Amino acid sequence: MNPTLALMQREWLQYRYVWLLLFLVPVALAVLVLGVSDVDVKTDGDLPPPLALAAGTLAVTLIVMAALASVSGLVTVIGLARRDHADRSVEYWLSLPIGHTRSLLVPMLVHLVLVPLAAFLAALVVGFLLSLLLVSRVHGPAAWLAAPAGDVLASVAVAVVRVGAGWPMAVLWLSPLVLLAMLMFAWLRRWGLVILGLALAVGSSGLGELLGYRMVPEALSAMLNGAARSIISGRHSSPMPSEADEAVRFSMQQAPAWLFEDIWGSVLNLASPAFVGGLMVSAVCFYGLVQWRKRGASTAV
Amino acid sequence: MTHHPHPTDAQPAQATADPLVQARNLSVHYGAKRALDDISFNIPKGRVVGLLGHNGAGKTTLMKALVGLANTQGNLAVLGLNPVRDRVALLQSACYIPDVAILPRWARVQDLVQMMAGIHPRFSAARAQALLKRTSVNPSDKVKTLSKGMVAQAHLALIAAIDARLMILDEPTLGLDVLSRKAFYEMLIAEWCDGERSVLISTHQVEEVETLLSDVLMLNEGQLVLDISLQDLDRRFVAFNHDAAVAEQMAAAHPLLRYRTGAGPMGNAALFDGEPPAAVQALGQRMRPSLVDLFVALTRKPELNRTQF
Repeated sequence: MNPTLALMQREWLQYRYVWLLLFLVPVALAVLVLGVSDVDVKTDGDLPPPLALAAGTLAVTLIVMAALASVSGLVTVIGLARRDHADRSVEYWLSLPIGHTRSLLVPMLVHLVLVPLAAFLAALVVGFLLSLLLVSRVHGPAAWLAAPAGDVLASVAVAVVRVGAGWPMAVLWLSPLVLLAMLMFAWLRRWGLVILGLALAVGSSGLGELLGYRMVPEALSAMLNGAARSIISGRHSSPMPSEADEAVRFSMQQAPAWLFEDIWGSVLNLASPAFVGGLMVSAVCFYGLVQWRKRGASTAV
Repeated sequence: MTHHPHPTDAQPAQATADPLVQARNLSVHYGAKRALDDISFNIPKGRVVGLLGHNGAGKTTLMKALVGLANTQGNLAVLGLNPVRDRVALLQSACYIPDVAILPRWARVQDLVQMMAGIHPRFSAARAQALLKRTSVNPSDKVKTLSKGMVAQAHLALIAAIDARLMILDEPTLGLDVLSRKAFYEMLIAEWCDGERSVLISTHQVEEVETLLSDVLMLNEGQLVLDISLQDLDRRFVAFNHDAAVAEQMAAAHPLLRYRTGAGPMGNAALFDGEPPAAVQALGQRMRPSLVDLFVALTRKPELNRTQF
């Protein structure tokens, strides 16, 4: 018996088809366009080298899949407090021996961290296949076979470790905003999000600055910047080359040192007043959500 | 259960050896509204207790309080635990069906069995499967494809597979047809009640559960107006069928309730708390009062229609 695993299983059982659709539809479209359609992917200009083309395809696949998984997870998590109210099954879940904190934390972990990371890993596999398809179509199958497989695998390993380590930190950076949205939706449904959106828009606009609310744009900027620097901290002495061929070679040679340096840089970024303040806001919002769930349990649902 | 001297003057119950539920001066407020008002009672082991009351009497609030889903004043111990503070531990030994047909509609029944096995330390998946086989529910069925009665059966099969000491059922058969209600209570009694475990059932279908009950708690506007075993109830409350011609003499003896039992000449009845004088007894024919009549007698108000019940 493991209630945390059981709650994770619940997310899988409830959302597996949504996740599969989110993943398979773009893949199927890409395969159709690249593999089956008559679209002429060759251009008259200079063609990118095979390795750059493969890396680009892989990168686009990773970004699209991770973005889809993140947006889907975000939408689910924002509605988390009310999701079981429509079919009244909230009464069933509340009758089980699971604490309110765990009931909220586990789905957040699944939708904000585990699913995007799983999508990232799955996208790696699909990205390889798509790059094989595209490189074969543009340069011929021999070009793919001639690619330095070891270098490619090394760069992929770097990306996996870096994103795997950085993603949870990025989620923590963004958690105040996510939890605030969750709390507002729990209390006021869609109006809560409208109010939050308006408050952020006003606070970030010139009007907010005029009224002296500089804190909102600064906080938003710190959160977004912190999240981005969780994935690439930029605190390393040898910056990653921008050209794909060079980046792959660089990854091969410098990967372990670069990884350690960059991840450590992201960890150091956490030691900032903005992050600690954000965590405090997150804790208050989470407490509010737990109280809302308790209050929902004690009144008619 | 404990016997109170007067139905409208509920006193704290005397402690019974190891009661599963012990409530003392229990109150619950929703803002200014007092949903439960200073009630006290015990539920010992091995009892089947009916919780009766009009809509809004406080039944659901009491049940939520018992499983830690409502904040309370006063003292409340369920299985020796504080329900709010120890809710998770309590729900490992007390199972709860808060309403009818509330299983998640997206799930298959077998998914729920799997999840319960992961969540509940006292849940037996094998027992749940065995209980499901006795119903018309297939484990591979999706909840949303089941009728309301089948969902109630599936829910009971899941809950009855928990090796708990106390089961709390809040209107578990509301809206079900008579066959589904019968099947539900048959499964409950045959598969779960063993003389050691206790059940607290709130229902409006009093006639259907009357034969199952060992005790009754009656709530009226948040107050406990009756806390009695059915054996004591038979000794304490008496009813007399009587002819319309003696109605005034019966009324003069101040019965709790006068009502019609049929269309014939002896179609009138009077319900008394305690034995009426011998002269009054001689006017009619003694009979056992039903729980429904007793409920009406103890909770009636001019503005309340008896059909609400």
